[in-house]
Amino acid sequence: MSFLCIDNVTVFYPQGISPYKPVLENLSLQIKKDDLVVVLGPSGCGKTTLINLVAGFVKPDSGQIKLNSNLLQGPGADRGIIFQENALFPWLKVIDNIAFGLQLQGLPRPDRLQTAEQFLKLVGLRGYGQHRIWELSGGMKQRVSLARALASNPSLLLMDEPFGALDALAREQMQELLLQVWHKTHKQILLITHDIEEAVFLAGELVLMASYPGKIVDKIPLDFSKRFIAGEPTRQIKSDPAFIKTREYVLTWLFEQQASNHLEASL
Amino acid sequence: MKISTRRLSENTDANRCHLFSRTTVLSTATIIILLLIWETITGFELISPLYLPSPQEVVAKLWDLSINGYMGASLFEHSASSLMRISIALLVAIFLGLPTGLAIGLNANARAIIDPLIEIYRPVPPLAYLPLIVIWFGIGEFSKVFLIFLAIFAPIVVATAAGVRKVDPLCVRVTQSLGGNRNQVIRYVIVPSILPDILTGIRIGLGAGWSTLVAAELIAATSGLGFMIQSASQFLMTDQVIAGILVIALIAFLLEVFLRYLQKKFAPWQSVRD
Repeated sequence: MSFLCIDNVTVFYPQGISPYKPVLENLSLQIKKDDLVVVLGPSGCGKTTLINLVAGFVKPDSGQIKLNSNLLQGPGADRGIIFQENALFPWLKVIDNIAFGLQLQGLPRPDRLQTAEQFLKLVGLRGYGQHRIWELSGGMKQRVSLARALASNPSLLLMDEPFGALDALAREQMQELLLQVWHKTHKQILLITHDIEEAVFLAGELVLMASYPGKIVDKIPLDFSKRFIAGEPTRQIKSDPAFIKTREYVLTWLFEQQASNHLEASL
Repeated sequence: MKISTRRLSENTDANRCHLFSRTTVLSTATIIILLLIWETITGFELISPLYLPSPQEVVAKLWDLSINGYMGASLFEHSASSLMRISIALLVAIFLGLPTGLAIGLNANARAIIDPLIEIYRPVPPLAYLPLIVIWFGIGEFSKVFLIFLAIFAPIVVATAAGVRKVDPLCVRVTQSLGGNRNQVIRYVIVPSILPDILTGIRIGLGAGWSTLVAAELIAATSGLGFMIQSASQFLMTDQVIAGILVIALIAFLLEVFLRYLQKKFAPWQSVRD
C-alpha cells in the first residue's frame, strides 16, 4: 500500500513576508494509492510551497513527510513533477525528453526509447517523437511533460497549476487526458490549481486551504472524476446542477477567504 | 520566454523564404551605390590616385598580392599567419574560459574570487596592455597571441557565467525530481542550456580578438595582415592598404557568418542574439 503522508508540517520561509508567521502551519494530509487530490486556495496560501515541500525542494521546519513509509529527504525519482511552464529541454527531441529520466538512471538508449514510445502513445502524441519541442503547441508540450514524468514510474505525481497557461479548449482536453492516464496508471496525484471548475472536476478529494498562515480548512470528497471515467461526457458533468452547486460553494468560500484576508491585512 | 523564441524562429523562417526581400535589396543597393561613387570619383580623378586608387586598381593589387606576395610572403601567408595567431589564442581562451565561466556561475566562492580579477582587466582596451606585454615578453609571437587571448578570454568567461545564471531553474528542478544528481544536472541541463551563450561569447570574443590582432600587428610584426597594410602605408601604397583592409573585413565577416551558422545549427531553439 503506497501512500504519501504529510504529518503536522510547519514551514517558515527564511525571507518570508513576515518572519513570525509560517508559510504552512501544522499541515497534515494523506494521499492514498489511486487518489487524485486537488488543492485549492487563495493566492499566498502556500499551495506552491506544499508542492515544493513534497517534491523535496523545501525542507519542513517541523513535522515530517513520508512516501511509502520512507522519510522524504530532498528530491527523488519517486515523485514526478509537472510545472505550469513545461520546463522541457529544447535541445532534445520529444522522445528524448520523455526518456530523459531513464537516461539519468543509466538505461541503455534502445530500452529507454522503447519505454518512452509507450508513454508518447499514452498521452496521445504517437508520431511526434522526432519533433522538436518548439514545434509543439502549449497543450502538446504539457502532454510531453506528463509523459516525461510518468516514464520514470514515480509513485506520486506532483502538478503545480499544470494547465494554467493553456486556453480553455486545450485545458479541458488535458483534464480529460489526465483522468484517463490516472485511471490507466493508478498513480497518486497531488494537483494544485486556482481554476475552480478544474478543481471540482478532477478532484477525488478537494482540499481547501486558507492563507496567513497556510493551513487546510476543509477536505471535500468528490466523484465527478469517477463519473468521467465511467463514461459520462465532460460537458454533461460540468453542467450538472450538482457540479454547479459544488463549484458555486467553493467559489463563495474563496471570496470569503479573500475578504477575511483583506480584513486581517487592514487591521 | 518559450513563446517568444518560437515566434523568433518563425521570423527567421519567413526571412529565409524571402531571400530577395526589400531589406536585402536595399542592403545590396547601398553597396553598389558606394562602389559607383568610388568609381566616379576616381574615374574623373577628383582625388589623386595616390590617395584613392580606383576599384580596379585595388582588385588588381589584390590579385598581385595573392600571386607575388609582399615582403617575401603571399597574401595567403599573411592571412594565414594572422589567422594562426587568433586560432591559438581562441583555443586557449575557450579551454580556460569555459571552466572559469562555469565555476563563476556555479559557485559563489569562485565568483567572489575570480569576478574582481576579470572586472579589473576586462574594461581596459586590450591594446593598452601591449606596451607592458612587450616589456615583459618581447615582441615575439607569444606577446601577440597573449594579447589576443586577453581580448577573447573575458567575453567567453562573462558569457558562460551569465548563461549559467539564467538557466531555467524549473529545468534543474525537473531533473532533480527525475533523480538527477548535481553532476547530471551540470552535464545534461546546464551545459546544453549555455551552449548558445558560449557561442555568443566566442562571437564577441573573436570580434574583439580580430581587431586587437590587426592593431597589434600594426605595431609589432614582420608578417600578418596588419603588418602588410602598416608597411604599405609607409610607402604610400594606398591600393595595398585598401586591399588589406578589404581582406581584413572579409575574414571578419566570414568568421561572423560561420559562428552564426554554428549557433543556428547547435542552438536552433534560440535565434541569434546580439
